[in-house]
Amino acid sequence: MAVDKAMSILVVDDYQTMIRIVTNLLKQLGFNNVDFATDGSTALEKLRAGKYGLVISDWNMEPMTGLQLLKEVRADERLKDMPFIMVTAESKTENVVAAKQAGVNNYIVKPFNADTLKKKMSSVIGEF
Amino acid sequence: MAEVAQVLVSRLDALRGEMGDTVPMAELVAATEQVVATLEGDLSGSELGMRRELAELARFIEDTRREVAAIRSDDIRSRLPQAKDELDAVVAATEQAAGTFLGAAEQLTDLAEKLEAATGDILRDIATNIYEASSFQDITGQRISKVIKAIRHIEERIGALAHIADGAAPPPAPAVEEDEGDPDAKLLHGPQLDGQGNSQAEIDALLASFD
Repeated sequence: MAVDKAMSILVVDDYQTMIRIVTNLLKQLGFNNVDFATDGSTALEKLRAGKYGLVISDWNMEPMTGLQLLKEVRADERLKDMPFIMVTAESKTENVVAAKQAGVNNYIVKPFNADTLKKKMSSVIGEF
Repeated sequence: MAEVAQVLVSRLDALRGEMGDTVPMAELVAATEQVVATLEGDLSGSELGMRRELAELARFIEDTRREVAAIRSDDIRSRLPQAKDELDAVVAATEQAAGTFLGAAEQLTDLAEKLEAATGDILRDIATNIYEASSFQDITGQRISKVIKAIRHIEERIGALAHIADGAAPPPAPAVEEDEGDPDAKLLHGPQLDGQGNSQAEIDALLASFD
């Protein structure tokens, strides 16, 4: 099935610069409907209130981390199947394992390039 | 010489018995000097060597005590916020610079829409490169946060050392930082140095191993 490029994507990062970078890269890939949150709690509220097709989240945020957000999403009956990509500077094996066990769909280590973002998104939501 | 060593051990045991596991440096110096003073009369070569070493040890402990006591923890505490402010200024400056780069890249992207396809694609590629490179600000910001935490820890330990050198009992060791609200707080490491974390390819392989 073709990917709906009109889908809403939620970018979660506590650095405004990163939100701006990811948003611009997504627009270059043809995804113009991009929303953002600067921590896990706000992201969870937005996810519960709105309709999104993908979450691209940082890990290291306060008060709720990306990993906690992922666990909340997977525990929520309505959100549990939400495609979720972690984009983080946390690159230790234990981090990747913890994220995978929590149900992450893919994992991008910072710094990353546009090509990596596209490949990981394709593996999660389908080729586009 | 074995007797001398035994005297020294006995004296240290006595100190430990009186004061517990933490003995002020001044007491150690006094104990060492007392043992040195017992080495009188006809001394063998090894006893002379022992006396020299003990005297040197006593001097070293006393010098260290003086140097540590001379550290003004208040002075360090006043400098630390300044160091933190300097690092915060670095983060703000890099954020501002990254914002400028991103603004320029966004203008290029807008311009690309108005040009014919081939030229527009070139401009979009340039903009993509700028977007990718601008992520340095996130990484440097996280690294600086780690440095600030390390400086705070050093400041605490130097303060404790100066406290001990003044003859006071050592303050309790700081509790290991753990966020009680987040059981996964121990997983927050921040950016790794080259060769310490996993590359994207290694992470991909790790994820694939779960399938």
